[in-house]
Amino acid sequence: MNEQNNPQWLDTLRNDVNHYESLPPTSEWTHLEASLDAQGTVPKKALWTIQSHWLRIVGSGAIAALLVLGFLLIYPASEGPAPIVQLPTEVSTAELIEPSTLLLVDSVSVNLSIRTNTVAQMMPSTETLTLAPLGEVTQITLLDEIPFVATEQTTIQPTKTTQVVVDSLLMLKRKRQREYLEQLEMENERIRVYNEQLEQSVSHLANKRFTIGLMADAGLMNQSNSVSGSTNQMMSLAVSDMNYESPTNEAKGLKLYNANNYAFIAQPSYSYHHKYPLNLGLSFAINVAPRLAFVTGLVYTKLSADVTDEIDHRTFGQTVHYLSIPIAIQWSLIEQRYYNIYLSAGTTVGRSIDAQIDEQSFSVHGVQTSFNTSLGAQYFLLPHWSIFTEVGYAKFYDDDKRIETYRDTHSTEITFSFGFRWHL
Amino acid sequence: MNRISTTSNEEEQLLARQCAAQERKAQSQFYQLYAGRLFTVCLRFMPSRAEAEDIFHDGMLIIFERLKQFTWQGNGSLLKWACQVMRNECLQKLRKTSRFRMISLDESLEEEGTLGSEIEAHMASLHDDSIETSLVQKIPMAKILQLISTMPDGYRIVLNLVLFDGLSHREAAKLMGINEKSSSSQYARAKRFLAQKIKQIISNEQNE
Repeated sequence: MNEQNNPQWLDTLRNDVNHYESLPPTSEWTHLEASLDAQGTVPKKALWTIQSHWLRIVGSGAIAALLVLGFLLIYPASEGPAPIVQLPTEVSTAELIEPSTLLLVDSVSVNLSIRTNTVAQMMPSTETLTLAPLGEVTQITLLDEIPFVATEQTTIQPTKTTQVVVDSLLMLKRKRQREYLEQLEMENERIRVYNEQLEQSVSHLANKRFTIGLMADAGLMNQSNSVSGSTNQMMSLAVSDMNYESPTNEAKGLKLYNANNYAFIAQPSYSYHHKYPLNLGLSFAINVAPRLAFVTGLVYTKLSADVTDEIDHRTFGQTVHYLSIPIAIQWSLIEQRYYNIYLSAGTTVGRSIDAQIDEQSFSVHGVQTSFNTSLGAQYFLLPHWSIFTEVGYAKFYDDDKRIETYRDTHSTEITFSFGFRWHL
Repeated sequence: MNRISTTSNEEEQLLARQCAAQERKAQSQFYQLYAGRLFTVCLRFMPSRAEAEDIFHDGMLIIFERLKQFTWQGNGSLLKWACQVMRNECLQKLRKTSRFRMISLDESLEEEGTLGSEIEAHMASLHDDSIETSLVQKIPMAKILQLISTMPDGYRIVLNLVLFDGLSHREAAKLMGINEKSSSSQYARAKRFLAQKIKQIISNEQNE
C-alpha cells in the first residue's frame, strides 16, 4: 500500500473514486457480445480458415522455391581461376599415376627390349608376360596403366606358338600405346592450363610449387634409371632406342609432375587457423496456420581463416563470403499476446558470392547446405515486428572440398542468434 | 450501490471459471457486476470519455480472453485482477499515443532547474492543498472524474497510479519509465493541481 501523507480530503476522495461505478454506454454489452461472437464463432470461420491456411502453405512453398531457384540462377559458380592449394577437380586422383607405377613403366620398357634368347609367353587372362632368358624365369605383372613402347625393336626367336603370342602381344601393345598417348595428350593439355592458372593466380607460390615439382621429378627420374639399370644387369638385356622417346619423355615428365602434386596433396603443407563465422541476416515469418509459421530470409556469412604455409612459414588470409536462404517451419509451444516460445526446424541453402586467398580472388564451387533446429522466443514490439532470440543446432554439408573452411572443421555447430523479424 | 459486495467467495470463483470457459451467461453476469468499476478505471486514466469507451471495449475482451490464466486469491481478487488488466491496457494505449512524453518534458524542465526550490516553495504557499472534506464530498463524482481527465497526462497518470491504485513511487516510476524522484515530484504537483481545481469548483458553487 502507498505510504503517502495525504490530507484527509484526498483519502476520502480516493475511497469514493475507488468505489464509484461509472455506467458504460448502454449499447456496450451488445457490442461486446458481437465482438465475443466474432472471436468464438468457429463454424462460420472454419472453412475460410482452412482455405486460408492451405493458401498460405502453398504460397509459402512457392515463395521458397522461387527464392532458392532465383538464388541459384543469380549466383552461378563463376569460372575464375581455381584455388592454388588444390588441383582442379577434373583431375581426379584416380587418373594420377603414382611414382611406383612410373618405375614399372620404365622397367617394362626395358624388359620389352629383348633381343635374343628369350622366350616370351603371354597369359591372356592375367596379362602376365613371362621372360625366360637363358633358363632364368622372371615374371613381371603388367598393370593397366603401363604404356607399351619400343615394341618394334623387340626380337624374339620365333617358334610356332610363340610367334602367335608375340603378335597378339604386339597388337595389344600398339593399342594400349595409342590409348596412352591420347590420354597423355589430354592430360598434358589439362596440366598446361593448370600451370597457366597457377602462374596467374599466385606467382610466387606457383614458382615454389614448380621448383618442388622439378626437384621431385629429377629424383624420380634418377630412381627410375637406377631401377632400369639393375633390371638390365639382372636380365642381361640391353636398353633399346625408343621410337616414342620424345612424347613419352614429355608425358613422363608431366606424369611425374602430376604424381608429385598428388604427393603434395596427400601431405598438406598448409595449416589453418579458423575464425568464428560472422552471420548477418534478414528474417521473415508467414503465419500459415495457428501456431505454425513459415520462416525464410537472407543470411550473409563470412568465413575467415589465417593460412600458414608450412614450408616457408608465411601466413596469409583466406576469406569466403556466402549468401544463404534459410527455410524453416516454426511451431509455437507457448503463445501469448506479446510473445511466444517456439521450436523451429529447416534447412539453409547457400552459395559463395566471393572468396579470396592471399588477396587473390577465386571461385568456390557447389552449394553449401545445412540442417537447422532451434528453440527460440520472440517478443512483438510492433504489430508486424518482433525481436527474437534463438539457441540452435546446425549440421553443415559442403560439397566443395578444394578449400578448407570453418564449416569443414566444424560441420556441427551450436548457434546463438538474435535480431528482428518481420511477420506477414 | 455496491453490487460487488453481494458476491460470495464461491460465487466469485464459479464466475471466474465459467467466464474462462467462455460461457456467455457468466460473461454477462461478470459485466453486470464489474463493468461500472472497470469503466471508472478507464475514465480516470484516459483523457476523454470517447477514448475511455474504446479502451473499455478492448479491455473487456482481453479480460475475458485472459480469465483462464486467473488464479483466485481470496474475496475480491477477481475484481482486483480485472482492474489491473484494465489499467495495463490504459497504460499501454497511453504509451502508444506517446502521452508519456509529457512526463519526460516535465522531467527535463526539472533537470534544467527552471523550477527551483524557491519557486516551488512559493508555489506551494500560493496553492495550499488543504480543503474541507465535507465540501469535497458534495461535488458529484462524475465531475471529479471529469476534472481528473482534464489534468495534464503526466499528473493524471501518476495521480491514478499512486493515489487511486495505491502503488509506491518506485512501482509507478517503473510503469511510467521515469525515475522515482520524478514520480514523487509529479505527484506533489498533481495533488496541488487537483486541490486548486476543486477549490475553484467549490468557490463557483458557493458564488452561485
